[in-house]
Amino acid sequence: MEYIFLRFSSVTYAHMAQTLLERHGLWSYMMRIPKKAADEGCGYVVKIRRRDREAALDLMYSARIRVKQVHDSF
Amino acid sequence: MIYFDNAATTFPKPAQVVRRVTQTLENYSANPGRSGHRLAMEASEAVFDCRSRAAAMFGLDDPSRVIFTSNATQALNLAIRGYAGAGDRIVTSSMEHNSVARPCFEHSKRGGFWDTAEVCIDSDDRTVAAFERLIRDDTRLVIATHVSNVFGNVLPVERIAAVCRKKGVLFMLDASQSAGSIDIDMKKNGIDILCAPGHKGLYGPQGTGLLIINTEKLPRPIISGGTGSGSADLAQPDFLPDRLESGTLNVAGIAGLAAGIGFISGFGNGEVMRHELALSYEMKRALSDIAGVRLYDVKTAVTGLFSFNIEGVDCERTAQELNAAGVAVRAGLHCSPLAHRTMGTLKTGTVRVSPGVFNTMQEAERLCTAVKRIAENTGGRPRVY
Repeated sequence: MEYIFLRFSSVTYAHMAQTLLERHGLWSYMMRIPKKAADEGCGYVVKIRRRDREAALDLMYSARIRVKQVHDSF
Repeated sequence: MIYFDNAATTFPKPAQVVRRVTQTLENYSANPGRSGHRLAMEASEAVFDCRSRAAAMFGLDDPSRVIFTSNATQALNLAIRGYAGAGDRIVTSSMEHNSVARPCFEHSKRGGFWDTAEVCIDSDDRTVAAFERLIRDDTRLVIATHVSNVFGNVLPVERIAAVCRKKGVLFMLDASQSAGSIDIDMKKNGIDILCAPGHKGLYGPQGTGLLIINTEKLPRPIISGGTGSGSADLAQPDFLPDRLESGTLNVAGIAGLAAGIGFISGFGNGEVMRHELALSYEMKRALSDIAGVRLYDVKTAVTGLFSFNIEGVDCERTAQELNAAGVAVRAGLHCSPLAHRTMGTLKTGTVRVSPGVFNTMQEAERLCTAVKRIAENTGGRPRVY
């Protein structure tokens, strides 16, 4: 699969993540988490290219934006 | 109508604020953070945009620290009730608005303690010392208004914050009369919690307010409910802003507030304050020449808003006559009996004049002319104070 999904606690964190990725030139797309993966209830994920995974996670770590889970697919 | 009641709410609102509210209502007034369709995502982006602008305006880089409320009073209540429990002590200044004083009074009735530090209008040193004396081991929260909503005096909040930092106590700033006109950097100024209305100096619509938290200590939620996050868990989320932001947000108002913050940020550093001070300086100069007018001036730093009375004339009557002359001001106690008690005007109240960015020098002159006419018609006589 070409894409992976970063899951965040709330829509605000998803926006913060997307803003950060955009600022660093990384493509992303925000969407609702599919119900089958939403074990904690409603939430949002940010879809990114698989090849950007490490860069994206480094960015989140340095900005202290907690990624709750990385989904390979839904 | 000449509007000099900007301390109550700014008017008129900038055209871009009106446009943004209308556009939001017409185009994407969906529920942010709840659904995944395009309209909900656009609404969510609008809310996040405002969150980011508000965080940046007050020196923070984390938008999640910004909680939207419906006004400053709600923000203050969320923080006061959320941080202080039974047995905890709160220290405030002696010039607080009822939006602080009443929750603190209720706190004192629920097994808490509330002390007020006397503000000295002649000496910041004495004001800071009054706070320092009152902070004890059981003090949970210190609250100070940045600017008195009646007399316009600026409290030495950076110094009070430094005392709180030294003593390990949370410092909360009521920026109701300063947000938008005085530069505030929460990190540099040592402010842990900031409460501000969106509809005053930030020129947003009514029904908007901000609670901004710059500490890892989070308050208990006073309101709980749907947040669009962690929905399977009955416990309120433990992260911001969701912990303190349940229920559908005022999207159109928040979008308008973003435009208001954009509007006010477009002015140069200190430009808004210089404009308001220039207007008030001219008004105070002209009013001080009118027989029977008493100005309530202070020796510490001030903003553009100020209070006066005409000798022998009830303050509400002065305001009514100004209204008849086409000038809008506010009279009475301004929901701040503590401030009036501090200044000795609790019995009489005052007439408050509060300029904003849209006021002009011609309008200031017209206010003074109208006051002069009232004073002359009501037999005001010269008096030295």
